[in-house]
Amino acid sequence: MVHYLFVVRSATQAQRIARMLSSSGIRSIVQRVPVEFARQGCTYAVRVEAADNEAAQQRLQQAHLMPERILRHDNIGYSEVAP
Amino acid sequence: MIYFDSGATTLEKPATVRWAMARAVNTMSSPGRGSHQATRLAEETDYACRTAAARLFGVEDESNVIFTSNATHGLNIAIHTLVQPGSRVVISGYEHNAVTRPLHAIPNVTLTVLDTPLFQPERMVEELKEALGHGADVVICNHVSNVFGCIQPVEEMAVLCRNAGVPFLLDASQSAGILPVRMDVLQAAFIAMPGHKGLYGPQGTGLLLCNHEVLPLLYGGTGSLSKLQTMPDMLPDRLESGTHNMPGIAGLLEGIRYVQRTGVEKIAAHERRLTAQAVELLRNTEGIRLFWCDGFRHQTGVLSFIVEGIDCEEMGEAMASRGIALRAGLHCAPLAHRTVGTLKTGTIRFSPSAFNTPAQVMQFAQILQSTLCKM
Repeated sequence: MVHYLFVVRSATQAQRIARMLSSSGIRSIVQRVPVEFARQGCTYAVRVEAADNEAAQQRLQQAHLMPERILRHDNIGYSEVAP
Repeated sequence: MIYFDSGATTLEKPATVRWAMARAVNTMSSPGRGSHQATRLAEETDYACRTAAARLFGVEDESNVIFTSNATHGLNIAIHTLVQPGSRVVISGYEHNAVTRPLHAIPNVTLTVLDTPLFQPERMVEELKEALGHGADVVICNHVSNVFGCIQPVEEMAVLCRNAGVPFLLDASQSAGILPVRMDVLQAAFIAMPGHKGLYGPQGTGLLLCNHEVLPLLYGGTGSLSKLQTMPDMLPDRLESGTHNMPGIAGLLEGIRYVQRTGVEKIAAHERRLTAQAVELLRNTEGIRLFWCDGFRHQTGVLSFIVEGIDCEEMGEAMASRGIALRAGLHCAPLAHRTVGTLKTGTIRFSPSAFNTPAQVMQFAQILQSTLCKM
Protein backbone atom coordinates (compact mmCIF):
# COMPACT_ATOMS: atom_id res chain seq x y z
CA MET A 1 0.00 0.00 0.00
CA VAL A 2 1.33 3.42 -0.91
CA HIS A 3 2.16 5.77 1.92
CA TYR A 4 4.24 8.91 2.44
CA LEU A 5 6.80 9.83 5.10
CA PHE A 6 7.22 13.48 6.05
CA VAL A 7 10.78 13.50 7.29
CA VAL A 8 11.59 15.92 10.13
CA ARG A 9 14.63 16.50 12.31
CA SER A 10 13.43 15.56 15.77
CA ALA A 11 10.88 13.56 17.68
CA THR A 12 9.41 16.84 18.95
CA GLN A 13 8.80 18.12 15.42
CA ALA A 14 7.22 14.80 14.49
CA GLN A 15 4.87 14.95 17.47
CA ARG A 16 3.94 18.50 16.62
CA ILE A 17 3.06 17.62 13.03
CA ALA A 18 1.15 14.48 14.00
CA ARG A 19 -0.98 16.42 16.47
CA MET A 20 -1.61 19.18 14.03
CA LEU A 21 -2.74 16.71 11.37
CA SER A 22 -4.88 14.89 13.89
CA SER A 23 -6.62 18.16 14.80
CA SER A 24 -7.44 18.50 11.09
CA GLY A 25 -8.90 15.01 10.98
CA ILE A 26 -5.93 13.47 9.17
CA ARG A 27 -4.67 10.22 10.62
CA SER A 28 -0.90 9.84 10.87
CA ILE A 29 1.73 7.81 12.68
CA VAL A 30 5.11 8.92 14.02
CA GLN A 31 7.83 6.53 12.98
CA ARG A 32 11.56 6.26 12.43
CA VAL A 33 13.02 6.83 8.99
CA PRO A 34 14.71 3.85 7.29
CA VAL A 35 18.50 4.08 7.83
CA GLU A 36 19.13 4.23 4.09
CA PHE A 37 17.18 7.50 3.94
CA ALA A 38 18.27 8.99 7.24
CA ARG A 39 21.11 11.06 5.86
CA GLN A 40 22.58 12.21 9.15
CA GLY A 41 21.59 9.18 11.18
CA CYS A 42 18.48 8.36 13.21
CA THR A 43 15.62 10.64 12.46
CA TYR A 44 11.84 10.82 12.53
CA ALA A 45 8.97 11.02 10.12
CA VAL A 46 5.23 11.34 10.14
CA ARG A 47 3.53 8.71 8.01
CA VAL A 48 0.30 9.37 6.14
CA GLU A 49 -1.57 7.15 3.73
CA ALA A 50 -1.58 8.06 0.04
CA ALA A 51 -5.19 9.18 0.16
CA ASP A 52 -4.33 11.78 2.80
CA ASN A 53 -1.05 12.97 1.30
CA GLU A 54 -2.33 15.99 -0.56
CA ALA A 55 -4.53 17.26 2.25
CA ALA A 56 -1.75 16.70 4.75
CA GLN A 57 0.77 18.66 2.70
CA GLN A 58 -1.70 21.49 2.27
CA ARG A 59 -2.31 21.60 5.97
CA LEU A 60 1.42 21.62 6.71
CA GLN A 61 1.97 24.45 4.28
CA GLN A 62 -0.78 26.50 5.90
CA ALA A 63 0.85 25.92 9.28
CA HIS A 64 4.37 26.68 7.98
CA LEU A 65 5.49 23.25 9.13
CA MET A 66 7.03 21.82 6.00
CA PRO A 67 9.08 18.66 6.46
CA GLU A 68 12.71 18.47 5.38
CA ARG A 69 11.92 15.81 2.80
CA ILE A 70 9.07 13.61 1.69
CA LEU A 71 9.52 9.90 0.96
CA ARG A 72 7.02 7.85 -0.99
CA HIS A 73 6.67 4.15 -0.33
CA ASP A 74 5.17 1.77 -2.88
CA ASN A 75 5.65 -1.88 -3.82
CA ILE A 76 9.20 -1.15 -5.01
CA GLY A 77 10.29 0.60 -1.86
CA TYR A 78 11.02 4.18 -0.76
CA SER A 79 11.84 7.02 -3.10
CA GLU A 80 12.27 10.71 -2.42
CA VAL A 81 9.67 13.02 -3.87
CA ALA A 82 9.71 16.78 -3.96
CA PRO A 83 7.61 18.35 -1.24
CA MET B 1 4.41 16.73 60.36
CA ILE B 2 3.08 20.07 59.15
CA TYR B 3 5.15 21.07 56.17
CA PHE B 4 6.04 24.72 55.54
CA ASP B 5 9.17 24.26 53.46
CA SER B 6 7.66 24.56 50.00
CA GLY B 7 10.24 27.16 49.01
CA ALA B 8 12.64 24.19 48.88
CA THR B 9 10.27 21.54 47.52
CA THR B 10 6.52 21.19 47.65
CA LEU B 11 6.05 17.94 49.53
CA GLU B 12 2.36 17.30 49.02
CA LYS B 13 1.60 16.80 45.35
CA PRO B 14 -1.67 16.33 43.51
CA ALA B 15 -2.61 12.63 43.45
CA THR B 16 -2.42 12.67 39.65
CA VAL B 17 1.34 13.34 39.91
CA ARG B 18 1.89 10.12 41.85
CA TRP B 19 -0.32 8.11 39.50
CA ALA B 20 1.37 9.46 36.39
CA MET B 21 4.81 8.66 37.77
CA ALA B 22 3.84 5.10 38.64
CA ARG B 23 2.35 4.63 35.19
CA ALA B 24 5.52 6.00 33.57
CA VAL B 25 7.75 3.61 35.49
CA ASN B 26 5.68 0.70 34.20
CA THR B 27 5.00 1.78 30.64
CA MET B 28 7.57 4.25 29.30
CA SER B 29 11.08 3.75 27.98
CA SER B 30 13.26 6.40 26.31
CA PRO B 31 11.75 8.92 23.93
CA GLY B 32 13.47 9.10 20.55
CA ARG B 33 15.03 5.70 20.89
CA GLY B 34 12.81 3.30 18.97
CA SER B 35 9.55 2.48 17.29
CA HIS B 36 7.79 0.44 19.94
CA GLN B 37 4.88 1.41 22.13
CA ALA B 38 7.00 2.17 25.22
CA THR B 39 9.10 4.76 23.40
CA ARG B 40 6.07 6.23 21.61
CA LEU B 41 4.28 6.75 24.89
CA ALA B 42 7.39 8.45 26.27
CA GLU B 43 7.57 10.74 23.22
CA GLU B 44 3.91 11.67 23.54
CA THR B 45 4.33 12.42 27.24
CA ASP B 46 7.42 14.55 26.54
CA TYR B 47 5.50 16.48 23.95
CA ALA B 48 2.42 16.93 26.10
CA CYS B 49 4.59 18.29 28.92
CA ARG B 50 6.41 20.67 26.59
CA THR B 51 3.16 22.02 25.15
CA ALA B 52 1.56 22.41 28.58
CA ALA B 53 4.61 24.36 29.78
CA ALA B 54 4.70 26.42 26.58
CA ARG B 55 1.07 27.45 27.14
CA LEU B 56 1.58 28.29 30.81
CA PHE B 57 4.72 30.35 30.18
CA GLY B 58 3.88 32.01 26.87
CA VAL B 59 6.43 30.19 24.72
CA GLU B 60 5.38 30.19 21.09
CA ASP B 61 7.33 27.12 19.96
CA GLU B 62 7.31 24.18 22.38
CA SER B 63 10.69 23.06 20.97
CA ASN B 64 12.14 25.92 23.03
CA VAL B 65 10.99 24.28 26.28
CA ILE B 66 13.91 22.20 27.53
CA PHE B 67 13.78 19.52 30.21
CA THR B 68 16.47 19.92 32.83
CA SER B 69 17.13 18.10 36.08
CA ASN B 70 16.43 21.22 38.17
CA ALA B 71 16.67 25.01 37.98
CA THR B 72 20.40 24.91 38.72
CA HIS B 73 20.95 22.80 35.62
CA GLY B 74 19.04 25.28 33.45
CA LEU B 75 20.83 28.25 34.97
CA ASN B 76 24.18 26.59 34.29
CA ILE B 77 23.27 26.06 30.62
CA ALA B 78 22.21 29.69 30.28
CA ILE B 79 25.22 31.12 32.12
CA HIS B 80 27.60 28.85 30.18
CA THR B 81 26.06 30.30 27.00
CA LEU B 82 25.86 33.97 27.93
CA VAL B 83 28.91 34.58 30.11
CA GLN B 84 32.48 34.33 28.86
CA PRO B 85 35.73 35.06 30.66
CA GLY B 86 35.92 38.81 31.07
CA SER B 87 32.16 39.37 30.76
CA ARG B 88 30.47 42.17 32.71
CA VAL B 89 27.47 40.72 34.53
CA VAL B 90 24.81 42.55 36.54
CA ILE B 91 22.96 40.54 39.19
CA SER B 92 20.50 41.38 41.92
CA GLY B 93 21.63 41.25 45.51
CA TYR B 94 19.20 38.38 46.10
CA GLU B 95 20.72 35.70 43.88
CA HIS B 96 21.03 32.08 44.89
CA ASN B 97 24.31 30.14 44.74
CA ALA B 98 22.86 28.47 41.62
CA VAL B 99 23.70 31.76 39.92
CA THR B 100 26.68 33.07 41.86
CA ARG B 101 28.71 29.85 41.89
CA PRO B 102 28.63 29.27 38.12
CA LEU B 103 29.61 32.93 37.68
CA HIS B 104 32.44 32.55 40.19
CA ALA B 105 33.75 29.58 38.18
CA ILE B 106 34.24 31.70 35.05
CA PRO B 107 37.50 33.66 35.14
CA ASN B 108 37.65 37.43 35.21
CA VAL B 109 33.92 38.08 35.33
CA THR B 110 33.15 41.59 36.53
CA LEU B 111 30.10 41.48 38.76
CA THR B 112 27.87 44.42 39.54
CA VAL B 113 25.51 43.61 42.39
CA LEU B 114 22.29 45.60 42.75
CA ASP B 115 22.19 45.64 46.54
CA THR B 116 18.73 47.16 46.74
CA PRO B 117 17.05 47.10 50.17
CA LEU B 118 14.16 44.69 50.68
CA PHE B 119 10.79 45.40 49.05
CA GLN B 120 11.96 48.44 47.06
CA PRO B 121 11.45 47.37 43.45
CA GLU B 122 11.41 50.94 42.08
CA ARG B 123 14.87 51.46 43.50
CA MET B 124 16.13 48.25 41.90
CA VAL B 125 14.95 49.53 38.51
CA GLU B 126 16.89 52.76 39.06
CA GLU B 127 19.99 50.85 40.10
CA LEU B 128 19.76 48.65 37.02
CA LYS B 129 19.45 51.72 34.78
CA GLU B 130 22.64 53.07 36.28
CA ALA B 131 24.45 49.74 35.97
CA LEU B 132 23.46 49.37 32.32
CA GLY B 133 24.77 52.87 31.73
CA HIS B 134 28.21 51.66 32.81
CA GLY B 135 28.02 48.77 30.32
CA ALA B 136 26.94 45.16 30.80
CA ASP B 137 26.99 41.96 28.78
CA VAL B 138 24.35 40.04 30.74
CA VAL B 139 21.76 40.74 33.45
CA ILE B 140 20.65 37.93 35.77
CA CYS B 141 17.88 38.25 38.33
CA ASN B 142 15.58 36.01 40.30
CA HIS B 143 11.90 36.79 40.06
CA VAL B 144 11.38 36.15 43.76
CA SER B 145 13.99 35.82 46.48
CA ASN B 146 14.04 32.31 47.92
CA VAL B 147 14.90 33.77 51.33
CA PHE B 148 12.61 36.78 51.68
CA GLY B 149 9.91 36.22 49.09
CA CYS B 150 10.42 39.72 47.70
CA ILE B 151 9.19 40.11 44.14
CA GLN B 152 11.68 41.78 41.85
CA PRO B 153 10.51 44.20 39.13
CA VAL B 154 11.42 41.80 36.35
CA GLU B 155 9.02 43.23 33.75
CA GLU B 156 10.65 46.65 34.01
CA MET B 157 14.12 45.10 34.15
CA ALA B 158 13.43 43.05 31.02
CA VAL B 159 12.38 46.20 29.15
CA LEU B 160 15.55 48.02 30.22
CA CYS B 161 17.66 45.07 29.07
CA ARG B 162 15.84 44.84 25.75
CA ASN B 163 16.32 48.55 25.10
CA ALA B 164 20.01 48.24 25.94
CA GLY B 165 20.42 45.08 23.82
CA VAL B 166 21.61 43.10 26.85
CA PRO B 167 20.46 39.48 27.31
CA PHE B 168 18.32 38.95 30.41
CA LEU B 169 18.36 35.66 32.31
CA LEU B 170 15.47 35.13 34.72
CA ASP B 171 15.61 32.65 37.57
CA ALA B 172 11.95 31.76 38.12
CA SER B 173 12.65 29.17 40.83
CA GLN B 174 10.32 30.79 43.35
CA SER B 175 7.77 32.21 40.95
CA ALA B 176 6.89 29.52 38.40
CA GLY B 177 3.38 28.38 39.30
CA ILE B 178 2.98 31.22 41.82
CA LEU B 179 3.22 34.39 39.73
CA PRO B 180 2.61 34.97 36.03
CA VAL B 181 5.86 34.15 34.20
CA ARG B 182 5.55 34.88 30.49
CA MET B 183 8.30 34.59 27.92
CA ASP B 184 6.14 36.42 25.37
CA VAL B 185 5.93 39.40 27.74
CA LEU B 186 9.45 39.39 29.13
CA GLN B 187 11.30 38.38 25.97
CA ALA B 188 14.14 37.20 28.20
CA ALA B 189 17.07 35.30 26.70
CA PHE B 190 16.36 32.40 29.06
CA ILE B 191 14.02 31.57 31.93
CA ALA B 192 15.04 28.73 34.25
CA MET B 193 12.81 27.04 36.79
CA PRO B 194 12.51 23.86 38.85
CA GLY B 195 9.66 21.40 38.44
CA HIS B 196 9.49 20.41 42.08
CA LYS B 197 8.42 23.66 43.73
CA GLY B 198 5.47 25.72 42.50
CA LEU B 199 4.83 23.42 39.55
CA TYR B 200 4.16 20.48 41.91
CA GLY B 201 6.26 18.03 39.90
CA PRO B 202 8.76 15.63 41.43
CA GLN B 203 12.38 16.32 42.36
CA GLY B 204 14.82 15.86 39.48
CA THR B 205 12.74 17.94 37.07
CA GLY B 206 13.16 21.46 35.74
CA LEU B 207 12.57 23.58 32.66
CA LEU B 208 14.68 26.00 30.69
CA LEU B 209 12.77 28.29 28.33
CA CYS B 210 15.00 29.44 25.49
CA ASN B 211 14.76 32.60 23.42
CA HIS B 212 18.44 32.87 22.46
CA GLU B 213 21.08 30.77 20.74
CA VAL B 214 22.43 28.27 23.20
CA LEU B 215 25.50 26.13 23.85
CA PRO B 216 25.09 22.58 25.12
CA LEU B 217 26.37 21.80 28.58
CA LEU B 218 26.18 18.03 28.10
CA TYR B 219 27.20 16.16 24.98
CA GLY B 220 25.85 12.74 24.02
CA GLY B 221 23.12 10.73 22.35
CA THR B 222 19.85 12.39 21.46
CA GLY B 223 18.22 9.74 19.26
CA SER B 224 18.57 12.14 16.33
CA LEU B 225 21.15 12.95 13.63
CA SER B 226 23.35 10.17 15.02
CA LYS B 227 26.00 10.27 12.32
CA LEU B 228 27.00 13.77 13.37
CA GLN B 229 29.66 14.05 16.04
CA THR B 230 28.51 17.55 16.90
CA MET B 231 25.33 18.13 18.86
CA PRO B 232 22.20 18.74 16.75
CA ASP B 233 21.62 22.43 16.11
CA MET B 234 17.87 22.23 16.77
CA LEU B 235 16.08 22.44 20.08
CA PRO B 236 15.20 20.59 22.20
CA ASP B 237 17.66 17.89 21.10
CA ARG B 238 20.65 20.24 21.33
CA LEU B 239 20.29 20.46 25.11
CA GLU B 240 18.78 17.08 25.96
CA SER B 241 21.41 14.40 25.54
CA GLY B 242 20.97 11.18 27.50
CA THR B 243 17.90 9.29 28.60
CA HIS B 244 15.01 11.42 29.80
CA ASN B 245 13.57 11.26 33.29
CA MET B 246 10.21 9.90 32.13
CA PRO B 247 8.63 9.35 35.57
CA GLY B 248 9.69 12.89 36.42
CA ILE B 249 8.38 14.40 33.21
CA ALA B 250 5.09 12.50 33.48
CA GLY B 251 4.74 13.80 37.05
CA LEU B 252 5.69 17.33 36.02
CA LEU B 253 3.04 17.27 33.29
CA GLU B 254 0.38 16.49 35.89
CA GLY B 255 1.80 19.16 38.21
CA ILE B 256 1.54 21.77 35.47
CA ARG B 257 -2.00 20.63 34.67
CA TYR B 258 -2.87 21.05 38.35
CA VAL B 259 -1.50 24.61 38.34
CA GLN B 260 -3.44 25.39 35.17
CA ARG B 261 -6.66 23.93 36.56
CA THR B 262 -6.31 25.73 39.87
CA GLY B 263 -4.95 29.00 38.49
CA VAL B 264 -1.70 30.75 39.33
CA GLU B 265 -3.49 33.76 40.85
CA LYS B 266 -5.61 31.56 43.08
CA ILE B 267 -2.59 29.64 44.36
CA ALA B 268 -0.69 32.88 45.00
CA ALA B 269 -3.65 34.43 46.84
CA HIS B 270 -4.05 31.32 49.02
CA GLU B 271 -0.36 31.28 49.98
CA ARG B 272 -0.35 34.99 50.71
CA ARG B 273 -3.43 34.64 52.91
CA LEU B 274 -1.70 31.93 54.93
CA THR B 275 1.45 33.99 55.31
CA ALA B 276 -0.52 37.11 56.24
CA GLN B 277 -2.24 35.00 58.89
CA ALA B 278 1.16 33.88 60.21
CA VAL B 279 2.31 37.51 60.32
CA GLU B 280 -0.81 38.54 62.26
CA LEU B 281 -0.29 35.75 64.76
CA LEU B 282 3.40 36.46 65.28
CA ARG B 283 3.95 40.18 64.74
CA ASN B 284 3.46 41.09 68.39
CA THR B 285 5.44 38.19 69.79
CA GLU B 286 8.42 39.51 71.70
CA GLY B 287 11.80 38.61 70.22
CA ILE B 288 10.55 37.72 66.75
CA ARG B 289 11.58 39.89 63.82
CA LEU B 290 9.57 39.28 60.69
CA PHE B 291 10.64 40.31 57.20
CA TRP B 292 7.44 41.25 55.45
CA CYS B 293 5.98 43.84 53.18
CA ASP B 294 2.81 45.62 54.28
CA GLY B 295 -0.09 44.32 52.19
CA PHE B 296 2.21 41.75 50.53
CA ARG B 297 2.34 43.98 47.47
CA HIS B 298 5.93 43.02 46.71
CA GLN B 299 6.03 39.63 48.43
CA THR B 300 4.84 36.10 47.75
CA GLY B 301 3.90 33.66 50.53
CA VAL B 302 7.55 33.22 51.57
CA LEU B 303 8.28 34.70 55.00
CA SER B 304 11.65 34.87 56.77
CA PHE B 305 12.05 35.61 60.46
CA ILE B 306 14.64 35.76 63.21
CA VAL B 307 14.23 34.94 66.87
CA GLU B 308 16.46 37.23 68.88
CA GLY B 309 19.02 35.41 70.99
CA ILE B 310 18.33 31.99 69.47
CA ASP B 311 20.35 30.50 66.64
CA CYS B 312 18.06 29.94 63.67
CA GLU B 313 19.30 26.38 63.11
CA GLU B 314 18.53 25.53 66.75
CA MET B 315 15.11 27.04 66.32
CA GLY B 316 14.58 25.03 63.15
CA GLU B 317 15.62 21.84 64.99
CA ALA B 318 13.31 22.62 67.88
CA MET B 319 10.38 23.20 65.56
CA ALA B 320 11.16 20.05 63.57
CA SER B 321 11.14 18.01 66.78
CA ARG B 322 7.65 19.37 67.42
CA GLY B 323 6.43 18.43 63.96
CA ILE B 324 6.83 21.69 62.06
CA ALA B 325 8.99 21.63 58.92
CA LEU B 326 10.70 24.97 58.23
CA ARG B 327 13.99 25.89 56.61
CA ALA B 328 16.70 27.59 58.63
CA GLY B 329 20.15 28.94 57.82
CA LEU B 330 21.36 30.80 54.74
CA HIS B 331 19.14 28.98 52.21
CA CYS B 332 22.05 28.67 49.72
CA ALA B 333 21.74 32.42 49.21
CA PRO B 334 24.44 34.15 51.26
CA LEU B 335 24.29 37.12 48.91
CA ALA B 336 20.64 37.77 49.81
CA HIS B 337 21.53 37.67 53.51
CA ARG B 338 24.45 40.00 52.93
CA THR B 339 22.13 42.45 51.16
CA VAL B 340 19.59 42.44 53.98
CA GLY B 341 22.13 42.26 56.81
CA THR B 342 21.30 38.77 58.07
CA LEU B 343 24.46 37.01 56.95
CA LYS B 344 25.62 36.43 60.54
CA THR B 345 22.32 35.17 61.88
CA GLY B 346 20.64 33.52 58.92
CA THR B 347 16.85 33.34 59.07
CA ILE B 348 14.08 30.81 59.50
CA ARG B 349 11.81 30.54 56.49
CA PHE B 350 8.11 29.74 56.46
CA SER B 351 6.86 28.84 52.97
CA PRO B 352 3.39 27.33 52.50
CA SER B 353 1.93 25.67 49.43
CA ALA B 354 -1.52 25.33 47.89
CA PHE B 355 -2.15 22.36 50.19
CA ASN B 356 -1.62 24.08 53.54
CA THR B 357 -4.58 25.29 55.59
CA PRO B 358 -5.30 28.14 58.03
CA ALA B 359 -5.61 25.56 60.82
CA GLN B 360 -2.05 24.43 60.13
CA VAL B 361 -0.83 28.03 60.30
CA MET B 362 -2.57 28.41 63.64
CA GLN B 363 -0.80 25.27 64.91
CA PHE B 364 2.52 26.54 63.60
CA ALA B 365 2.15 29.83 65.46
CA GLN B 366 1.06 28.13 68.69
CA ILE B 367 3.94 25.66 68.57
CA LEU B 368 6.43 28.43 67.78
CA GLN B 369 5.24 30.50 70.72
CA SER B 370 5.27 27.57 73.13
CA THR B 371 8.73 26.54 71.88
CA LEU B 372 10.02 30.05 72.53
CA CYS B 373 8.78 29.89 76.11
CA LYS B 374 10.82 26.72 76.70
CA MET B 375 14.08 27.92 75.12
